[in-house]
Amino acid sequence: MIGTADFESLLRANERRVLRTAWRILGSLEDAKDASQEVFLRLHKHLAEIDLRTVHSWLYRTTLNVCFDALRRRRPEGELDFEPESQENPAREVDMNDRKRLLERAIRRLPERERAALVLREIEGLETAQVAEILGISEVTVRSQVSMAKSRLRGWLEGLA
Amino acid sequence: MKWTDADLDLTLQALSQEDPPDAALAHVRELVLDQTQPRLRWWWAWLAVPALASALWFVWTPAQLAPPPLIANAPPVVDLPVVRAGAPPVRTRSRPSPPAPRLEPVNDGEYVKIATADPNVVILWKLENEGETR
Repeated sequence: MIGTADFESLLRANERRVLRTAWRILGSLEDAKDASQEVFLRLHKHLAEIDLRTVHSWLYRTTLNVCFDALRRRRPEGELDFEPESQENPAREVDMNDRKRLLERAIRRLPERERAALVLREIEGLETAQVAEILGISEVTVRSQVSMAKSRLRGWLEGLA
Repeated sequence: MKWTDADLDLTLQALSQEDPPDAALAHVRELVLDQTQPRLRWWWAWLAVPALASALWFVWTPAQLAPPPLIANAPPVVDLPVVRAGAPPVRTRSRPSPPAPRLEPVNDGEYVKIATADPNVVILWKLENEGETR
């Protein structure tokens, strides 16, 4: 049986990855904070049933479930538009911060499975096998979904030019 | 805006290096601990209530309700001789009865000695002037 101190250390060890994943899936830090809170409350509730050796996978899977539940309750994303952060020189080439903001918004338009595969593989940096285990799909499917997600993103982002 | 594969990979990499602010992490942690630790405290409180009630019951129960100390009033245990089953009965030898006191004629008058069929029984008949007595 895991104690209070152990739960707190588990929380501290995993809070960053859970909040970051939720942030990338939801695209909003405030929503991500709510989702992270829900994930750790579920962890506390089911702690006795969880194998601590696979707690990372459990946390990623639960984070995705909580985030997608939240997204289904939310309005669908609108059209992708772009306003440069700096208004002083609109003609200048967009910098990395602008690219990141654009990419964040484009990721929010991806289908759920593609978004989950892309975030876990390309942003969280997990191995393809780990992503496959978390999502419950084959590694081939993971590669395919990541590839399709990137292709969609490029199309949308180039369409803004 | 030009988005090559390299641009996309570079931007994805930049996103992966962007961590949520520490304040956001602390806020989530505080909310989670607030909602989990009080539950544990209440759990211990629920255990403490019956324990306290039991302790009070033992303290306040009148002494007369307590059962009498059976052991203190029990009669002392007597060591009885062990009788083995099948042991031969103890035979006791009867003592010879003491000899019967012999009746001697009292010399306070005249008697007539009358013999009976039983040699152990003798009748003494006292002779008196006023009459007969036995």
